[in-house]
Amino acid sequence: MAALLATGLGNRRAFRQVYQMTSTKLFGICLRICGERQTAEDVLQEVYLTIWRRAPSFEPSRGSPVAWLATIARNRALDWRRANNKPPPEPWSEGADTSVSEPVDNALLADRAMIEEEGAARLQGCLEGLDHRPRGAIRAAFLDGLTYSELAKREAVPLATMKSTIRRALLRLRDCLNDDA
Amino acid sequence: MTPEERIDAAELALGLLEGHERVTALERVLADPAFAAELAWWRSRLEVLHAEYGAAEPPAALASRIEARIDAEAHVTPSTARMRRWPWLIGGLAGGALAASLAALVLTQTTPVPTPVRSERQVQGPLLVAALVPAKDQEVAPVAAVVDPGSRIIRVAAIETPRGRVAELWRIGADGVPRSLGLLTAARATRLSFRPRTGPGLGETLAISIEPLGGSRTGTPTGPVVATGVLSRG
Repeated sequence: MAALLATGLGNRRAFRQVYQMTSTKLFGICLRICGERQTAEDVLQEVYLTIWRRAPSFEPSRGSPVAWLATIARNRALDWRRANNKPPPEPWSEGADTSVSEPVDNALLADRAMIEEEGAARLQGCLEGLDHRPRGAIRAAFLDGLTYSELAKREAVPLATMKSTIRRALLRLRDCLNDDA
Repeated sequence: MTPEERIDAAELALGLLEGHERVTALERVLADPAFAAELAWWRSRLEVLHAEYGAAEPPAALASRIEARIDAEAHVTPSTARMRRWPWLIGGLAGGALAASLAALVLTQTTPVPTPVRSERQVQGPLLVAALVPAKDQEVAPVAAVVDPGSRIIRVAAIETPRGRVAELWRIGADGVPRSLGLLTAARATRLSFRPRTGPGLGETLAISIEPLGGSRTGTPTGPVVATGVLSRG
């Protein structure tokens, strides 16, 4: 947090620190969405240039720094995939059920507290309440950056089916998240 | 907002939409503050999924390559010191996330309005987008703005203004000097045009101030600045 704020003031040492603390996480995001290493490296460069430029506008009261950085990485990677008309990568190797999250890099553990454990637990709890298929699809939509048609293709179901399945699941998710509030 | 509309926002937040559907949803974000707020709600709920991304080690040489590029562009970026002359700019961009996502959303859709006369010009340049974030302690949804350099049009989402006052849009470029882009229509989305070479560019800040009817007479903001945001690539 402090390092990101100092980066916003143009402090290069702080920027290096942000890079050290977060580059494995953000590279993981780029790699998963882009699906190829060389591209992920190029995209990661753009990500950190964007972070350097936008750090002055990071507003700590409005959310966790990790989420802010991760959002930039995810969007840059998706930008690249769309601009180059690339298909999404193969399904990430994950169990048939809820994707087991890989161990998060240790350097990030300190910051993970910032990701609002409570919010994470609530979302996970509500996701668990969904059926297996829509739950996997919602995760894949977010983590792999898949659209409806890409999901339908991957799951080999008609587009309309995929849409209505996910919309029903999102409706339940909305209710669940609200109930807990 | 109906449950169905809430799910429309969720689809946008997850990135499920493409093509025409995406454009329609994006335009709705600009036109409908309640929809924009619902989108922000979903984003903040879903962002915890970032924790599920695994880690991977980038090559060691990458850090120095990035620093070299920062050095290379250092002389063209607006100086931070300059920006500090306008302390209200630091109010920041709540929507780093929102702005970035709007950018990603508009990326492949450069012809959002189906008006044949203008659509040809609209595809000329990439769109620029900004989420204008309310100053601290104001529980208001970010105001979206889209700049189309090709047709020299700025569209700004609806903003509430106090009775007897008017909202004015400003651009602040590398020199740190605010320049008026025009007045915003109360409670409705506004469309402003600008002359060649007078439009805001990538990385510039847009700001909205509340002014007496008719707008600021001094050429700089005189009333409170209620929202600011930085333009990024659309």
